[in-house]
Amino acid sequence: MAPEGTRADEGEGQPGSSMHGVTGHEPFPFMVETVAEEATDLKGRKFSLPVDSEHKARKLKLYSFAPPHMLTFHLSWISFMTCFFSTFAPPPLMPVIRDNLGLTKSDIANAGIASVSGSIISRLLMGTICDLAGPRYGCAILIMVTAPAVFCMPLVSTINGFIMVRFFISFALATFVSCQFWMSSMFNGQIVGLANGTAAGWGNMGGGITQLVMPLVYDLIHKKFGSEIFTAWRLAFFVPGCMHVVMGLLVLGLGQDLPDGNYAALKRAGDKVNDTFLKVLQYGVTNYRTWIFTITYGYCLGVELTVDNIIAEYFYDRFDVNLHIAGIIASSFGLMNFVARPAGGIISDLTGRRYGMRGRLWVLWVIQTLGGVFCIVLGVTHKLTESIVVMLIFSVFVQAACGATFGVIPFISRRSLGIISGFIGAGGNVGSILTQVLFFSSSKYSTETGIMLMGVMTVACTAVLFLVYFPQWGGMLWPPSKATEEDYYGGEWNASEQADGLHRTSLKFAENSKSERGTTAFSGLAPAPVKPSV
Amino acid sequence: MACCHKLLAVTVLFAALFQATEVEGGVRFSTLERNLVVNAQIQSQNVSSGVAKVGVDSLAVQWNLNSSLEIEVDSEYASVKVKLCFAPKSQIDRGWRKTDDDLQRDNTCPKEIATKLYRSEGNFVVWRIPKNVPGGEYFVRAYVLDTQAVELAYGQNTDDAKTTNLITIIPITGRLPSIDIAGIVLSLFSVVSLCSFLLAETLLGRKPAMS
Repeated sequence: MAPEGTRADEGEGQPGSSMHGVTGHEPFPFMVETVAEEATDLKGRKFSLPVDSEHKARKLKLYSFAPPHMLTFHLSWISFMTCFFSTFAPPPLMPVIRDNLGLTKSDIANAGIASVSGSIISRLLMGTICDLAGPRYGCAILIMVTAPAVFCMPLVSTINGFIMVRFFISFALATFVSCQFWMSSMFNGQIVGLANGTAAGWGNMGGGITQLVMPLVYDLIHKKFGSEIFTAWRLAFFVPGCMHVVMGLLVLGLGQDLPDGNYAALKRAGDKVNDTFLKVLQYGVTNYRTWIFTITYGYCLGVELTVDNIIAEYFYDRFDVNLHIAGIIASSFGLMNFVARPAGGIISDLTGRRYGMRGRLWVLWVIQTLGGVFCIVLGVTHKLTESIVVMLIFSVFVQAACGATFGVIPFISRRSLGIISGFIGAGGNVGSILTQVLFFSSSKYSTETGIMLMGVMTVACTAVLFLVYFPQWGGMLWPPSKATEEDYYGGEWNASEQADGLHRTSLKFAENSKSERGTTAFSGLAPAPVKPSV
Repeated sequence: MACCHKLLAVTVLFAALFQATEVEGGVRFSTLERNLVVNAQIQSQNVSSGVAKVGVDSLAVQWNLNSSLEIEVDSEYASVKVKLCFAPKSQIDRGWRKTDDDLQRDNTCPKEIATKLYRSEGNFVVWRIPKNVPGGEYFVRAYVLDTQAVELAYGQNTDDAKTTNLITIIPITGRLPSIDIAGIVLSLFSVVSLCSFLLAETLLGRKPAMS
């Protein structure tokens, strides 16, 4: 039976429960004794990694593919990467596609907007699907159901068809949610932040890998097999399509939801739902910090998605490089995610340890503003080599800002964490839609002017971080008040709910979040030592 | 303070480098004389259609020196490059096809029809339109080059506003029946194998629970 205080007690299937453990800053309210020697999986074999009492791994061995933990890690990030790959597969081939379909700049922009819109809906649904059916089914169903959309791309012959297909392919980006959910199920709270940040970063890299691979595949088909250019790009799309099918089958065949087996087979002890969707929504929506971070995430992830859409065409048109050189340059932007996003999370964590939440906010503001500054510089750089260098620096800051944002998100709310993460994630997509509509849809601005203006808007919108204030820890400019963590997290429950003791897990979280006070020297608050709660 | 001065100097140096000399421009189109007379017709099996299909139809282009010119202008003319160029209608909202007065940066004429040695008359070429030409409205322009391949003069089959005698070209779709079939088959495979898997797992039961 599940020990007291575990997910069974909180009730799986609660609104937002799919995002618990996403960044690993929540305490897991159960014993963490190492049971490596006795822990065995379903088949009676020893786990290859040390595990906790829930059989979640306590270590991350990136070079291992051992089931269930590391195999899940790799299946998960590769599936997510595949979805990024197919969503951003058209941009590097745009110079060919635009001539084939007779696209104008507004058509291309509309398609780019469509390519980040579908996932707003699917990300919101995916959380529920994972809660109900498990991440394995969620991921596999999504990736195999969007495969036909990818296979429709070679059949497209009209502008509207192109826009529709890009819209439907973008539903696949919701594998972000299943990826994060799956990591939280397989990895212990102390390393789930690292597992999630690495998986998210490596998944986002798909936007870079595609810019490298698609032009190469196109070149191969066109030059070696002698296809016409307008046929060769269509054939190239069978690569992402087949990747979808292969990954879907691998996830179904090799994956499992939990270290001990598959979701539906495990009965939840205590099916009662402790919380109502409306209450969770209410506390999420009325917390103004949700909206501030929705705006700011739109200018780190949103900018990243926009750049994935426009950068290959930008280098092709502005600097007269050929298609696959433009692809290589463009891919380096997305490939920086390999280290940049995890690094952002790590920097946020290190700063938080010493300077508390105020440090995290400052670090996020600095990183994201510098991202905006280098975006401005990219727009005004006229020579090729300098452009590439500036773009690489810009990519590091933008992607690190995404990682650093997830260092703060878990502290905004405990009760409504899932919904808030969903809003903020959707904010990333909305930011991308906004920048594409404002700066890249019409011929009013050249692409380089559009990039510069996007940088200006990033710097301006990131400034709203100054408005974030946690009563217990302070804000960027204001010191903390007398409020405590318990007041803040307990305040999400009204008096009758507190009388029923529904806020217990929030209080446990509050206790553990005292690490966000930083060291005494900085905050003047006495940092409470983080004890493992029982 | 010394480090600040150094930092400022380095920043100024970088800024100067960024503004460094632009690549030398090419010849400016506005300086060229329109000394050639160019004519182009569609050669098509379907004569009355008025449009040209890529891969099937051809363009017949003739050009000669404008006989009404009095002075000897062609002493330095060495070769002629004939190009297919976008009409303004096909350039709207497509910045990558923009016309620029600097011929090195001009993107109006994407396809080369022919390059021939210069003769003042009797020039004729028939060009089968290749399949990689995008659809749109075009005109034909011929540049006269000297021995260093620098443009000296030009001629085109349309007026200065590029509104008359335009050639409409119908492109290929790039789609093939085999691609359509493969796409449909693989899509069906994806959906069917997913459903089979889910059905099989439901019917055969899942692995027993252990908690």
